[in-house]
Amino acid sequence: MNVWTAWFLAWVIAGLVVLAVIAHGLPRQSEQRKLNTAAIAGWLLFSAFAAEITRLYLTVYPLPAWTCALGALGIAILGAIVGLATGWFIGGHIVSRTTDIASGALGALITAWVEITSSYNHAEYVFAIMLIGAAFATFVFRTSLRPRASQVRSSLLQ
Amino acid sequence: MIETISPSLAPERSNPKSFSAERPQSRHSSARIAIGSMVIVAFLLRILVIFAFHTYEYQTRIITKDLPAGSHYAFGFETGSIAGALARGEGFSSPFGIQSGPTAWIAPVYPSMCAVVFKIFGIYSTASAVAILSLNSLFAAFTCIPIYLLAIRLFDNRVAQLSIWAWATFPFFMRWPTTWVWEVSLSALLMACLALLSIKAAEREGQRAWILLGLTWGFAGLTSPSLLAAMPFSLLWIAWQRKRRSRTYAVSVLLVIVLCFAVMLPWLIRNRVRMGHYLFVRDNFGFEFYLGNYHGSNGFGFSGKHPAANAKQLIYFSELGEVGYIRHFQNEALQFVREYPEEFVQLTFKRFVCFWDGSSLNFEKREGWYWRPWEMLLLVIPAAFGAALGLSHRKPGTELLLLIVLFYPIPYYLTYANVRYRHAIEPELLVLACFFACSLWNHVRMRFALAPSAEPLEGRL
Repeated sequence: MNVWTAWFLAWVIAGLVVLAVIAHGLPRQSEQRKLNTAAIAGWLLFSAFAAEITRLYLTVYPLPAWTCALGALGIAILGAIVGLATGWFIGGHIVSRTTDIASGALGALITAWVEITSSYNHAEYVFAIMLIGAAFATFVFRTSLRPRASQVRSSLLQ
Repeated sequence: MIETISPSLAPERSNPKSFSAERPQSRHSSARIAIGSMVIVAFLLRILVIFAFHTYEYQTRIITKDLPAGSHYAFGFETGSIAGALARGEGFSSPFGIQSGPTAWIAPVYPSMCAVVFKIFGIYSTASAVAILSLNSLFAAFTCIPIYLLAIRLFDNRVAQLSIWAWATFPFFMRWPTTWVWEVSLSALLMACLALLSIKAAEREGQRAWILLGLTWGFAGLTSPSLLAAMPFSLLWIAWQRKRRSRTYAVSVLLVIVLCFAVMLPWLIRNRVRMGHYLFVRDNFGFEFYLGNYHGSNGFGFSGKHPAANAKQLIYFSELGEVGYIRHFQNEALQFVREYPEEFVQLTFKRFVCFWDGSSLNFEKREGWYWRPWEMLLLVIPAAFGAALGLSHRKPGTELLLLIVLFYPIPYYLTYANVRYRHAIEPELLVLACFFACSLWNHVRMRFALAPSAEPLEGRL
């Protein structure tokens, strides 16, 4: 298996797992459930792009696979914690805590990937931006995936 | 489960599709006074920065190293060089300090303004540097007006007040008007006006707003053609808004395009006559594209390949002529794109990232207290949250601001990203950031019961 395929599969699996968790957290009648097909198509496109950028990056900085895997795991855990904290801060019972964790992890992974492969920032900036990315992803999911019929909302989401 | 409602946002919920809630007449005069005061404060603070930090000395310093463009090139670079030629009566020419004939390297408006200043205060004089930086400061101060009007139309008075306070007093927004002889302050003013006029055109009947919009787009194109990158998206947004309300738009959109072109036409004719080719407002895109796109590039324009910094390149420029020189390097850049498409995509993505996270500053010489990459994030991050919140609230106009800030930098995603270029869209970013700041503050008060009047409204909606 070449590098591009491996990274493509890694991005696809990680993203689809997170999207599945988020979809699972939505109410059954939610309109956003219909967006799943579009989200999957969008994610496949993003995964192809991300795999190519990662492949190009690794030709310059060849990191071992286990380093990448452990790094991704650490980033996902940090992102999950930030997602949970962001969900608590926003308040309200719009979607599940699992969704906060999943969106935080996904946000941290995407932001860390963007910063590591394509930015010239120093490590401390990359770390800070990654945490903000996790919070932003949770915030976006909370604001965009709220069920319209819900009568229980956070003041931030009014 | 507690549900609270934001008092500042509550009145708009009754009519969420309207751009602005009706305001009593008495509030208009107090708003005028507030805006007028902030314009004066913004201007005076920028003048204070110019004199306190002697920022004019950066322009008037004599370059002692052997720079082919000459010892005064630090004064506005290509802009200053063309303005000097204009003031000497040599016409719009010579962008690199030596006589090289007519040029379209830079758009005409700002160098012409600088030339008028040179005529009055002397070419490359300290008085001229102070006058031009003061002129920039005046543009920046007047930007308070469209910022306030934008924020009050899209959000509310609190967001509007915070936005103009921040614009007027934060040093972050003062660095370009007070340090650089370039059109960025005028571009920021024009882009804010264009956003405001677009919203007016979307909601009003009659042709006045459309005519003004067309003329302003034309003037903006003559000031900085990069601004025009946002024009198609802004017109599409207006058309979409009017279609939603079953209002006519096709003829008016066409009118805007025709008027914009009509304003730029004399300059395009001048380019055809003086340069001998059909050129757009500026002709140097191909060369800038080459500066950022070659095998092994880091994505940022390498000044060592620029005629202003490389004597060999300047000789080549003189030999080939401006148009020939640009076409030569444009072809080289296109050849690179054909040979290394993946590398070009990677570089474009890098430029997109660095445009927003400010990390391109790590490649630039640190020029004092105002140059830090993290400062760039202080505006971008809350603006991103504000945009997400605005879209979620279905605040009409948030889409327009988002379209402008995302698509205006297209030329810079393709060439090279410099944080200076971002100043043109900082008013729009600021309005979104202030919307988020106000919503966040309101949320914190409600969430943690800091407001004595905060009353849980569970079940009232």
